[in-house]
Amino acid sequence: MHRNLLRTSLLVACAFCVASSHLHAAPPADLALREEAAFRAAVAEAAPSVVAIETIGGLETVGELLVGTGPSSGLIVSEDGYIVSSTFNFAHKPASIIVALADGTRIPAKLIARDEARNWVLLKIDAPRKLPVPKSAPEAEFTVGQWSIAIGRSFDASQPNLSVGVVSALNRIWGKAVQTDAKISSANYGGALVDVRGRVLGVLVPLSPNAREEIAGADWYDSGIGFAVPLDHILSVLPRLKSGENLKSGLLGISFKGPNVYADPPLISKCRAGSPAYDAGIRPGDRITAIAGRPVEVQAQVMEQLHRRYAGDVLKVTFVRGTETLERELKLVEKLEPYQRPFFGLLAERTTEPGPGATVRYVYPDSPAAQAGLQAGDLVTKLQGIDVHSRDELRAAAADLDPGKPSNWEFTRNGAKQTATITPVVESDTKPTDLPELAKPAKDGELAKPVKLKITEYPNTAELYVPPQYDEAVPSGLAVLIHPKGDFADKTTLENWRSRCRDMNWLLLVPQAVEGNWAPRDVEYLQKVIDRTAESYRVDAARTALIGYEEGGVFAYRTAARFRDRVRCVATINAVPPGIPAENEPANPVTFIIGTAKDFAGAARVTKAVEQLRTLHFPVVQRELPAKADDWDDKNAAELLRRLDALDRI
Amino acid sequence: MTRVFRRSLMFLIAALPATFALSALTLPSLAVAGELDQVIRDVQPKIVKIHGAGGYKGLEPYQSGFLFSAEGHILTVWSYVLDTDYVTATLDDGRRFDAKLVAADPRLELAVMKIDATELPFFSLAAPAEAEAGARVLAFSNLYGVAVGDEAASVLHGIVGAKTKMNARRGVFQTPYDGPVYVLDAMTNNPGSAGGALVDYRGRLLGMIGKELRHAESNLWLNFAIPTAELGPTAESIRAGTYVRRTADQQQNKPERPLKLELLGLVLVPDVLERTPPFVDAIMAGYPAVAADIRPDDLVLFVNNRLTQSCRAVRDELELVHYADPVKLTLLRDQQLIEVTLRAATAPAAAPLGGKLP
Repeated sequence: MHRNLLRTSLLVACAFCVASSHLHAAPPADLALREEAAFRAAVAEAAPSVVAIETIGGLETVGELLVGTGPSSGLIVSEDGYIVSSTFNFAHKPASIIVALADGTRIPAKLIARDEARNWVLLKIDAPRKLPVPKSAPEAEFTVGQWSIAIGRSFDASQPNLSVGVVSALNRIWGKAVQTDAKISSANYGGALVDVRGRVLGVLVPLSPNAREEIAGADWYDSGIGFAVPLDHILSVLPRLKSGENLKSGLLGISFKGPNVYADPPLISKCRAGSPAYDAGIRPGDRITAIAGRPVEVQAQVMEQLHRRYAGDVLKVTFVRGTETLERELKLVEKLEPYQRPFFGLLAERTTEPGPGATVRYVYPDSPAAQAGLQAGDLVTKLQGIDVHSRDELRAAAADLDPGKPSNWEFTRNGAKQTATITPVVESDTKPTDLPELAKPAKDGELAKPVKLKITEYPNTAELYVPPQYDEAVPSGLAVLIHPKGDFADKTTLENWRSRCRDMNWLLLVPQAVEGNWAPRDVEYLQKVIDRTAESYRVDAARTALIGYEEGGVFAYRTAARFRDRVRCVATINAVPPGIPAENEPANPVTFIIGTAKDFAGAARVTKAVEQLRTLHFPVVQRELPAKADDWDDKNAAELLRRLDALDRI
Repeated sequence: MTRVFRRSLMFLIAALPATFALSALTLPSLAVAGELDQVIRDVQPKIVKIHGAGGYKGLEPYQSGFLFSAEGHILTVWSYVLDTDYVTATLDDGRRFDAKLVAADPRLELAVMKIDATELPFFSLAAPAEAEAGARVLAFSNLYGVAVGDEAASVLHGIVGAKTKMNARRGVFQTPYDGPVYVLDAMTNNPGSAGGALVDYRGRLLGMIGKELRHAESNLWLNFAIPTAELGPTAESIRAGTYVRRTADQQQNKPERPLKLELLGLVLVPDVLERTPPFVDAIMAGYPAVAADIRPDDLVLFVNNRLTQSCRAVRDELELVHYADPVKLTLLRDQQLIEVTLRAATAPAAAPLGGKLP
């Protein structure tokens, strides 16, 4: 803070030095005094509408900031007692609010509603008489460089305190606020920023371009940068707050490709399932060309239009897909619900070539599909009107459907066309008994010989075990075995997995960390070695699992988080997840199978992470293993294998 | 540079209509009917750069002061900088003098220093000028000790942001001074600024820039100056040798036998939080609170018009009331403000040892 003060002060000091050295450069004193008279007239005009606000009780600190309970300011916006103030003044959740009018009358106030996107609140008092309502300056007339006077009423209820500056910028913080260099702090938050004619430009609030909390931006006090929410805007949404509605930022549910919001085009990289954008049919790869009829070329323009609006507002989005231009109206939402993957309860034949449909291989007992009468052998041809030609197409079409909503299936049984209505449930753990037997139980016999894989630019090595009955015509599951720090204590775990993968008819990939330690750069190595495997063998993208042990498990979580499109399952033993992924994705679902030994020190943290993952609707299986376990015991291993093999469930 | 120029231009453009619109208003005539730089040139020689003790732990060994007699009397703030026998005062022309402390007033936190010189330019403390909120002002000081030798003090421009009383709310600013202040819309709250001069656009002394001060609750820095009218009599009496030293006894206003909640028959809710809202928990039968119709669940907002944000604040305010004096409580009940005045019926129990009734 002090450094800033020094800088500002020295600048001012220098300016005066320059002025003194050129005799006629300083402004004539009479102009200065005329301006001073104008400031006073402006304050006299607006100050009766600026009130002092006292609060009683409440928190000492909000976040890490010590919040003052000093009086703050408010602005009258209606004759009958509606008053606007800054959210900052109420962040400490006071027990009681008292408003002091310009004449000293004190009246208790109620907090009616908040605008959480722009950090201001609406209060109501029982007005003892008609209150003075200030004139609002039209936003269209705001000019950078015009005088702006900040008026608060916080030192002394009987008189206003002021600070004079200029309008520094318009449409700041994504178009939410006007910026001033007058000194804005808790001494005038909630007060008015007025023009030299005493018309109100806006209500003073702390704002931050990066943070959203109600006290965000307060650390910029008195630093030459302050913000006011235009009064025009406040008046336009006043009826909504008067009805008690809290206004919140509106969300679309998309993210853009490219990190530079000011230079990169609004090309959609992700679209959250169930979000307004997703439901309107917007998909990754689409490029937004206009918002509310205004053409946009870079991401920032989209964000500015978005931030100007609230949850509940309707926004027209124009976008390009290929050569086609599409237009949709979306209703912004306050919160994006995590994606819930639907579960119908069937497995389809794994084919490589598209055919006339997707053949049902297995129906889970008591599942929605079983209840609707689907049977193994049925050939599904259409789901919700969309033609399906393979397991993958059926999976993709099914993933977009909402749990709890009926869907129409068309299928052929013994050459006859049939239909069924199936209402999927939320995908969660299925009972082990519901899981099908492994597709191709292999006979005991020889184990696969390892093939060495080497990625040129990485020092790591890896071995790939190809099962004896590997069939190029059918995609194989891929298990990536990730060792703990150092390596496995003995060869048993690797031997176990060699026979497990043979039984499942899965490929087994065993990468090795350099000197036994998994480093951040190994995440990319793992992705490359998985891709290398997929180049040489027919890997089933729907059944790729990372099997991690201890530190190797933590590394598995990291890799899965980074390469969502490669990993369908993370199975770990004694590993605490280093973070929680955002949510499950329709195209990239992940199942977590988490084992902890009875005596594992991080068990509590693992359980907490499991709860969080379940809140986000990830399918999670948690199993307790015997004390000192360093591998899946026989019973749990059998279940694990069946779960892995059913990763392509629908 | 072009950007700066453009901005200045914008200032002027923005200011023009206002100027014309207000040309009908009567404006104060200028003592110096010329330019602002002349005003500044006249003030600079009266500013003194003071160096003394400090220089470690973030305590800068310098501050500012100004001359208020032709014989070298300097008014400045009373601070650790003066807490040494070797204080020097450097004038605007570069002359450096040993400065002797004549006397200091701890309540106003001012000190008068004397240098051996004559025929110096000075501010007269008689008939002090005053300014209202909104008045344009200049603040002269050696902030950050940036001016050395014959370099002039730095000038900051700003306005009077408010004219208010220091410590209008008790305990907010830690200073013994509780009189009127100019709150400034200028960054004067900087090392070395204290003791500098605040003048109006006609070069008239308005006050002395105060010490660095922080709001005890919000951590906000306060830029302020103490008006000449508050300082003048003390400074002049020091100069005339008639000053009688006072002590800054913060307890001086506290009565020996203060009022207590118990004497009024008031029981507040248990004080369990940092800021427990002062709700009335119960009323004791036969006490003044009954007659005043105070009821459980009333919230005590003000004691003698001072805001009480917590149970503790209520007790602290009562500490300042003599038990025999009436006290005004402002209560909040069903969103209505209710004022009651009550007086303790009985005297507090005498102190166990050596207690004396008034």
